[in-house]
Amino acid sequence: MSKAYVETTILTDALLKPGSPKQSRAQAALARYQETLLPVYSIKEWKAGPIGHFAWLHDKFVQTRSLADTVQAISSVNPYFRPGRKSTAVEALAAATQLDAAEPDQPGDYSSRDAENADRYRLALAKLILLSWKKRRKLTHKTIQELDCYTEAAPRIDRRSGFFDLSPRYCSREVRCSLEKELRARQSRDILIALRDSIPESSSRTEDRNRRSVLKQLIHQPQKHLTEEECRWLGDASFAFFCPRDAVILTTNIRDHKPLAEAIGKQAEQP
Amino acid sequence: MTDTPIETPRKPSVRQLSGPETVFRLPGTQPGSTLIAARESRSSGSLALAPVIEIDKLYPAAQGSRSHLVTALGLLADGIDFLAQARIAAQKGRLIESDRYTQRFQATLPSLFRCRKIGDGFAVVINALHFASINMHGKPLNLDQITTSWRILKELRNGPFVEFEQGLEYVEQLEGCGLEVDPPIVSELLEDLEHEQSLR
Repeated sequence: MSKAYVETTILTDALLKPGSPKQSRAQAALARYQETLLPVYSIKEWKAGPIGHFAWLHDKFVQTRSLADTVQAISSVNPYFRPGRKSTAVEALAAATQLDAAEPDQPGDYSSRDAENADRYRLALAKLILLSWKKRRKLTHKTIQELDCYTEAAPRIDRRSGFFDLSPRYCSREVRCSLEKELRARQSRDILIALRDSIPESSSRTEDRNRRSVLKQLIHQPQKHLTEEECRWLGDASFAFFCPRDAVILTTNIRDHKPLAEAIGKQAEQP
Repeated sequence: MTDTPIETPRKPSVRQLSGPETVFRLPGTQPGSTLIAARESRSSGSLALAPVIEIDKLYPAAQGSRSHLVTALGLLADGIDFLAQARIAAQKGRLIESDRYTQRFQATLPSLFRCRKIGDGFAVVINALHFASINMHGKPLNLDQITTSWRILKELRNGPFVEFEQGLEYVEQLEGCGLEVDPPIVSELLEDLEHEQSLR
């Protein structure tokens, strides 16, 4: 029986990229397996990452009430968002709201077409965030590996400010990490060593360095409790470790997941 | 099919507001604001329900009225009528005629969105229908899609002050009949932000 252990990127493509080729690929990939399993760790990462990005964007529309200013804000947090791309993006986003190219410019309640477009995108983002959250556990056959330390609270819009409230985004600091018991078990040591060794020591990426340091700590100081931040740093290694033996990790980030999975005799596949 | 022109509803005159408070979190968005007035008529000291008052009697369309609600009720009535005609035509297999009525309905959506001051629940449904129309790229709606839109529009006209969560339920029903209700390039925005994250 073929089983897929669904990683965060698949959840993102399937639920937050409507109408895109990536969504079609993710959905087709999920349909390939007889059983699909979604760990709650994926939901946690998804809410803290992609959902958080869209919520930021929603809040930016609330703050600026302008499509042009919001695109400006995206470009200021993304250095690769080229200046030339900025004006193209505003035009493309504005054009994407027009039902009819010859639609007369009647802003109605709005101060400008730009404000109306901002409101349209804000509503669309609020809808996308809230409905994708509702669908998260319906995407796969099963949701597995519940986390006692994490409260899976739905995103909500604060009625007073209009901003998204995503709390809690991370695990509770008051509750012991639910994953650490298994990670710290004596029989896990060899697996942890193999995972650590699969990450190049020379890597300059922050996420690699952080992951190596947590794995090193688990190997050499298994009695030490994992902090919420360390659990997050474990990231991709957590998927390799907790993926059931009879399943494959389904991810679009094959570059990072493949070496980790193969180091411990597991497999990672992309859509 | 007859070649009778389909009458397009008159363009509503939408009130221009002078203040800066225009679109975000408007008073009508808050649950219970205007709805309370409607509900009050249901009982007077007893548990017995008074007869339901029709929305048109609650909000009569006085000539020259520029209220958003009255404008929206008129546009919704037009939209419901167009979709009802589209349904009948589709059921009889007259697909071109059906699409002609659907086109007229779609043409009312920008004006309906300009009445979004009614509330976020109302706005999210109209916005979803608007993007669904864009995403069809001119392809006609099928009978199921026409019927679902028609049914939701009727519910919306019966109670336009829907809460946002109720609006989302309607949008889910639109998605359920295969309509793509999201802006066509919204996923690209996420990718731009994901790129920023991957640089860390």
